[in-house]
Amino acid sequence: MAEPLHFVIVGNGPAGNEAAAALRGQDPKARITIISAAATHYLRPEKLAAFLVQPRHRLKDLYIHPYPWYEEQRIQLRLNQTVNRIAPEQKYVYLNHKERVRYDRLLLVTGARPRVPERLASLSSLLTRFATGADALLLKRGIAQVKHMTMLGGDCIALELAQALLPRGVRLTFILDEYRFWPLEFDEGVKKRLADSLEKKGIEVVRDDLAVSVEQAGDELLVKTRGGKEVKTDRACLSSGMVPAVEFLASAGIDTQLGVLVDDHLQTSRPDIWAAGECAQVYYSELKDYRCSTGSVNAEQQGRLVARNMLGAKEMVKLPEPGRVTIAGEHFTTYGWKGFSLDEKD
Amino acid sequence: MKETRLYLPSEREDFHAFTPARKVVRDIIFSTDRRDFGWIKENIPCQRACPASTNIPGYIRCIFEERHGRSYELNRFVNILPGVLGRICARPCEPACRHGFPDNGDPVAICHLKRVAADFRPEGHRLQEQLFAPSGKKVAVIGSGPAGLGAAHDLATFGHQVTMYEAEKEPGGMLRYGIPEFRLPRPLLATEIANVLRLGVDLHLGVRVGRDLELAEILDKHDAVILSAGAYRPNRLGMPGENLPGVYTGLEFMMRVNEGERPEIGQKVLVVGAGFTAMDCARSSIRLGAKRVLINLLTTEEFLTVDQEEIFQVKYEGGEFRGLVSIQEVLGKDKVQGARFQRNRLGGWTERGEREGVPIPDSDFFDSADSVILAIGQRPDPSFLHLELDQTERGFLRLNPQTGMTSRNRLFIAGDFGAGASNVISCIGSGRRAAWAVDQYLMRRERRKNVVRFEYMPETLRERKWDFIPRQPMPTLELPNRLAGAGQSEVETGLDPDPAREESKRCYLCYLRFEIDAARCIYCRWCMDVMPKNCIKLAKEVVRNSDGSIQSVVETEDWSQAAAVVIDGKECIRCGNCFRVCPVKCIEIVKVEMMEQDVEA
Repeated sequence: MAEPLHFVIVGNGPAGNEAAAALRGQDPKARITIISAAATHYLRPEKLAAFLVQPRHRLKDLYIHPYPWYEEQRIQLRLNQTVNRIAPEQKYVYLNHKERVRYDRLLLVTGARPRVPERLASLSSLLTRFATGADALLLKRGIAQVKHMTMLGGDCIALELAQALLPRGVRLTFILDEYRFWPLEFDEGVKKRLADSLEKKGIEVVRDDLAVSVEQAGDELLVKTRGGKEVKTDRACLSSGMVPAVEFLASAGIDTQLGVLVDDHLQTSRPDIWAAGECAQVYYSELKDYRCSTGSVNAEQQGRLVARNMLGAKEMVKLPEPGRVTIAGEHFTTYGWKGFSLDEKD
Repeated sequence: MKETRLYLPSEREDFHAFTPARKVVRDIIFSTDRRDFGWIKENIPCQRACPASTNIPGYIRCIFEERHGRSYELNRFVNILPGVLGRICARPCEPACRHGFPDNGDPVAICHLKRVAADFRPEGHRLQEQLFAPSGKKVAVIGSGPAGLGAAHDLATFGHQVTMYEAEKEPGGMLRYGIPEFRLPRPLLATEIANVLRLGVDLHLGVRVGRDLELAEILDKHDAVILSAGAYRPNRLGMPGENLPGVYTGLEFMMRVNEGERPEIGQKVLVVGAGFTAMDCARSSIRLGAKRVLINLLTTEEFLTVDQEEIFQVKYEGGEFRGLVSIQEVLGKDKVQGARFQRNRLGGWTERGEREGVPIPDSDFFDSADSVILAIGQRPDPSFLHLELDQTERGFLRLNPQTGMTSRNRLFIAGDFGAGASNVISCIGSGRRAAWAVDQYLMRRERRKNVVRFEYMPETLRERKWDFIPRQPMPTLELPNRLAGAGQSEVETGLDPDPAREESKRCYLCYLRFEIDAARCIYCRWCMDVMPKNCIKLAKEVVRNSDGSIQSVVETEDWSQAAAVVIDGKECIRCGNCFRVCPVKCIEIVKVEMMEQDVEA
């Protein structure tokens, strides 16, 4: 009898977990391993903001699958282990602690992390991140003392934090760059409408400007912008979009640009290696452009699709449906991010 | 009683000992055996990668010893302009560095350390030149860029009378007109060029050969001519709109900026290209006040020829990269209004080892712009020579492989003028090689040659803990200071002495050869117990290169098959653990360096 295939999944987010569940559903014999650099297991990213402000919420409440689920499903979950190299010829992934794991089919679902603008790179330790469970735990500890928060850029993270913090009376400043408000299609009209709506919500908006430095000033931080504005704040949060975490793939000869370049079937440039979710970059002929997907709903969808393709199907990935963001009664169309409203339930 | 006996220095107890204050050199061996050159190639990867074969471990060790003047000279012997190269070298050595091999960490900051030697050399340090007696021969060098300077330097030391013709107002070629001042300060460039000129080079500025003076005339008046006129004809794409006002070629743009002009570029600039010129154009555009600068790449950032540090600096200053696009045409009525692009996918590899970008059908998009800079390389333009010369299929001048001469007798070529745009260090190397070829032609014999020098070392020179020092970052100016004034303040401010010395410790000193003397080895295997890598092996046999040097070791697990216990020079990181632990001191350390020596008549 042939050995069952070993599916190795690098990454423990929505795409990876959905793929693992789908693989198990369709191939009861397969060996499935999830390797994750994170120390905690998969949690609902969209619930992080609520977790932050609800004192009684615990991280455990955000788990989709409790630990026993992985055992029941015979999915080996290896947390706190980092893959630092892949050898596609020999079909090995190398872990930081020098172990190597052989795979038959490999799925890269490493997700994305907040982009650190190059000019702030050396100040990285002063900046707040809000993308993972660990980030949320760290921020939650001091959240009661936060009276003012500055968003360095505008993205989904900034909006989700705004949604959680505004009702609690935290004052917010958004520093918006001239060219981007991720994940919106951005032009002059949108730019103005968006800044106006944020202001209507009581948010201070610094328009057409960039943070160039962040300094510790006593208990507070002092954010300085290119335009010469200075903002005193308790926290400066990275919110200039996300970048896929794919650096470690270059040495394996797996093509990457912003994310891992995959074809219509989510297959990478190397045989038996697939990618899905926020780290996978697909060319969509409808857009005449490449795009990485956004948000857990899209990631889960791609996770299920890639699982079918890894088992031999040839399904085409579809362009995510545009979502709608509502701020102070104004509607904005997004790049496939789920629906979101900064207003009271409408 | 008064001591009357006179002690001779050699009777002192520590006379033969190696102490920081004194060094006893017992045996030095010089070799021209090709196996020894082969050993250097095989074991010193940085030196092999350097087009000028710089003795990199040698000069880095001098920095550790705080002999910055000597370190500078070790560089200058072969690469003529250490201060310049310590800033803008293309650094082919760094990707080759053994410290960057898998599991070894990051490569040593070889280039930054070269700058350290230049920055901290003592004021008025002694330049060392090996001067030959005047030969009475006259040689002309056309072009005063890196290749011309390399050639002129060596020709002058050979004793020939050198005349250099330069078309522009100042010497330096691409160094002065191609590279922006914020990467290469001009006073430093002037000093290092002066070190070449003071050897008796007669420099004629503002003389454009082919316009002010014919090459045929120069050939008549000189015993030999080296053409090092660089690559100044910009490549063109032949697309619509290429000649609209607001479209610049990268070189034209940089030359204007470097002459102090401020070309009109508007708010949004699209740069097309993936080399250092494209980066320089983008960074200069930001300094000229552009709000948005996009560098458009056929492939992706991964396949850029520039290093990660440069990419970071471009982004730090606000430049953006747009990968996987090809420009199709420039659009606009009287001036540029934008450009049409196609998206690419990654394709195969070209013969020259470059990744291809293949346009995706029906993927056109328009992007608005106030100006477009096409920095897609340049090639030599031999039309000004007014001579019929043989060319290769690729349109470069054909050279005689033995003499380095063109099809015209006494006419030699150096640098980018020969084989197209390369980099500064390759041009200097090429210029020096052309000078040696000219000398051999004029004097009818070889007068200088490379030899391998061996020196036995009484100690390891390194400590194992140095292997864990992280790469020291280059300090740079903050953004407002970069853009202040004309925006030409040097961005990289240089390593300070302490981090510089830390960085120098990181070098494995691959020029040290660790060897086990089989006659004395007692096979105790202590060395194998302390080795940090798989570097000491039971060898069944060795595989040799065609020059006879050892390429690799065939390992065995079986003692009965082992011919010897050997240290694999390619795995060895020269930590010295084996040397320190050996109970019978059977491990020998030899310093192996390549150097230039005169050939006696």
